[in-house]
Amino acid sequence: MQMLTTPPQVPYPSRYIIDPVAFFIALIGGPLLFTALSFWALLIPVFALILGGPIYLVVGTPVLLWYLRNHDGDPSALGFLSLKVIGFLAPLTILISAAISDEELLLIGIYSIGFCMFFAAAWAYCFGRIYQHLRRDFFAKPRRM
Amino acid sequence: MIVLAVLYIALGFGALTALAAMILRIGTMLGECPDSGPSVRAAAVTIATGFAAIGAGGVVLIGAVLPLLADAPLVGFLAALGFAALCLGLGFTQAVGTLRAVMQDAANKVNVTAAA
Repeated sequence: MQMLTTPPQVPYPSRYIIDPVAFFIALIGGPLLFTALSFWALLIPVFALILGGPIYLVVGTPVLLWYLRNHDGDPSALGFLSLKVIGFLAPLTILISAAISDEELLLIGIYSIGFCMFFAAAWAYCFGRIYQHLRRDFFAKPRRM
Repeated sequence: MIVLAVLYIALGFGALTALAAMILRIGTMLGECPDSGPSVRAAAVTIATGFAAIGAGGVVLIGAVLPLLADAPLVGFLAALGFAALCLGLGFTQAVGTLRAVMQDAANKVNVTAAA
């Protein structure tokens, strides 16, 4: 005979609430901080900021919003996340450029993968450091919602 | 083009004001709870201010894309307005979620004090 018991609670993951002020300061400040620390390297970081900044904002903002909702903003984990995003986007760019047979885009895509990976990881790491530093305690704990 | 830009600014900031006022109203409603009322009311003002500031930045930044689409003004106008509304809505959801979390925290604190 089957026992009638209360059903177990449905496991629902805890979520973080994102601190909006810390998020936007870190979003803008992360790449700027890294550039300020490393601009002496032949000004490459400055060009990277100008060339890659818009892509970082367009792709990074939604990805970071989604990621920080489910995870604590550990800087190293964010750096790894950025590598995963590049690992997804770079082949996509190459495939698209091959599909529309745009050789220029293909070459840009292949040559810039190394730079992209380095700067994306560095910017995401700086983002994480600033975000965790500025985030208030209220937003630092996961909650059941 | 100019008419559409002015219309965008009016509608964008109108929506922003309406949503910020809504946050304050929700804060007042939640503030009627005797246990967590005061902290929720204070939090509502802070959250509404932050929402207004960040939202104004977002509306202006999205509006900055309008001149780039000067060839197809209506498409640019509608796309910008739609995207702005989407972002404002997401921000509003986030704000209300934060308010609820403040309320939960305050209620838990009252419960712990009562139990002790």
